[in-house]
Amino acid sequence: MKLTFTDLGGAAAIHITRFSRRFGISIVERVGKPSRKMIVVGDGTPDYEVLAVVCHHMDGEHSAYLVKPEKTGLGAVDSLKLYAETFKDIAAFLFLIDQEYDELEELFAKVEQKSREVGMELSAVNRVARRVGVSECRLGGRSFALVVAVNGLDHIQSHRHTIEDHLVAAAGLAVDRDPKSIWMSLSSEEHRRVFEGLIKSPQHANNHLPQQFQALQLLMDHPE
Amino acid sequence: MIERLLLEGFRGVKTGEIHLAPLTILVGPNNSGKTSILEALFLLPNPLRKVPYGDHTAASLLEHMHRTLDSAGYAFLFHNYDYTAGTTRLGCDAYGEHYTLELASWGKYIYLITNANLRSKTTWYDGKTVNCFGALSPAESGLSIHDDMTYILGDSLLLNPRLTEEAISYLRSNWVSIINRGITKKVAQEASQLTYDAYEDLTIEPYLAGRYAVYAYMKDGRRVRLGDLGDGLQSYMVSRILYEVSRPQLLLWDDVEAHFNPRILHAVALWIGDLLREGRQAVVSTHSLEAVRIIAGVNEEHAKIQLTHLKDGQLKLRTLTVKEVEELAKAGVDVRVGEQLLL
Repeated sequence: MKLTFTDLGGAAAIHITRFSRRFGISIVERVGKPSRKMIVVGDGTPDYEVLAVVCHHMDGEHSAYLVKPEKTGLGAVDSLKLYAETFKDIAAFLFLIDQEYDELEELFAKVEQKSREVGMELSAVNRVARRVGVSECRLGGRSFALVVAVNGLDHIQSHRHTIEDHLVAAAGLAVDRDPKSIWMSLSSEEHRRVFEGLIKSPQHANNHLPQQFQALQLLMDHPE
Repeated sequence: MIERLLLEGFRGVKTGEIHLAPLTILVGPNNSGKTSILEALFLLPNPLRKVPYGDHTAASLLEHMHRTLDSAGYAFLFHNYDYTAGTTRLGCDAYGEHYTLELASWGKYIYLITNANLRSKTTWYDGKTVNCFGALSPAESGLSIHDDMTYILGDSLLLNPRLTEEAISYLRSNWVSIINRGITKKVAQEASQLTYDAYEDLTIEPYLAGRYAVYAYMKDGRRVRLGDLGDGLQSYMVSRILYEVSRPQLLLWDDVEAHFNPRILHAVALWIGDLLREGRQAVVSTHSLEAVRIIAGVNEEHAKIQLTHLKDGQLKLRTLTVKEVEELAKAGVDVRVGEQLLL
């Protein structure tokens, strides 16, 4: 899957461009084919890098816009509303968010509640997997699909679940504290080895990033 | 790689020293020495070598750029134009050696002397033999070339948005070799990734009234004159061709952001990344924090941001990281105008 950015001067474009160049993967299009799909990243690095890995393993024919709002986590829903209002050609959004300290059900409920608060009407909410939900949204007379994927792994014993759960698991490390702090304590060389492994093997990547693969597949499969 | 540059009495800089990285990004206010640093590095390999701009040498190109009204000559290379009393010295540390280029007046001329061994020697007024590239006139554009072939350092290429016409003139004179090397095709196809038009190649063909023009021609066979493309795309294509023609060890780019949308800036950042991977070096200047963010961000492991400031001829610098530039911006400090506090 190719990514086209809405802000080339922003951190998402710079991180993903650097990452893709460093690992020799071709996922960035500066002038992309027109797409009706948009990925909204709720949290920053290393979410960008993980997304780059998953896109690398997906069908290279598809493309999507990628946007990172200034507000993180649930705060990004405010921007999601703006995108839905402004980009009327977008037929499906994928919202990627860290679970953080919430219970999973609680977080899904918060996303729904926040979406409704900003004026989006959600219907046909379908939890296609434990950490992936799809719903039909209506806003200002138009409808679009919203895929929500929550980062984190259930088997990681931690009060906080983020994208680092996946990376620490991919590194094969024992988790004795917050995975984010474990990941941050690793050297850049260790980070490189983890990403190399994920890029090299689609199976390895799929095993450790199941909901991200599933969510991107749902986005790709949504009719244009 | 050039690790350090020393300037003494060169243009606006009375004294200055800068440590260079594989990629050095110069950012700072107007008149803060950025262009002087680039021009010093441009002259150093051999000021009298031919460069890919019209029929210019490195020195004559700078002379051409700095002309105002009908003034001419090379006195502008000296601090305060003081070519009679002053001596301009450029020095650099590269590959474990120290190289110098001295601009010294004697009689009616300015001599270009180096500590490196040249084929051409000149007997100096004190009887010593010196290595001399040639001589320049303070107030005339003519120059006397003794050695335009020996490079004391790897070649450097200066890119500047003001030089597009001279660059196209050079391309016209060398067109067949450029075409036959496949450079125009490669560049046209790269440019297609930056716009919604698909370019196949560049060509020189008749326009109207039997006159010729450089065209970008498209996959559907249509031609668009290079001069009718947007300034950014034109500048990017010409810069890419000049680089591919000369493949310099050191790329120097003044006002790198000029005419460029972030899309082209990304392409420039990736291009610079490629040349760094080949062991080459780049020094760019900019007034744009967006350009700093993109070019340094994409090449973070090789990049050094240097904030420049020039006061009473003293060049001052401060090294910043992308993160520092970002954090200062968030805190309400624009490094381009906060240099007095930061240095």
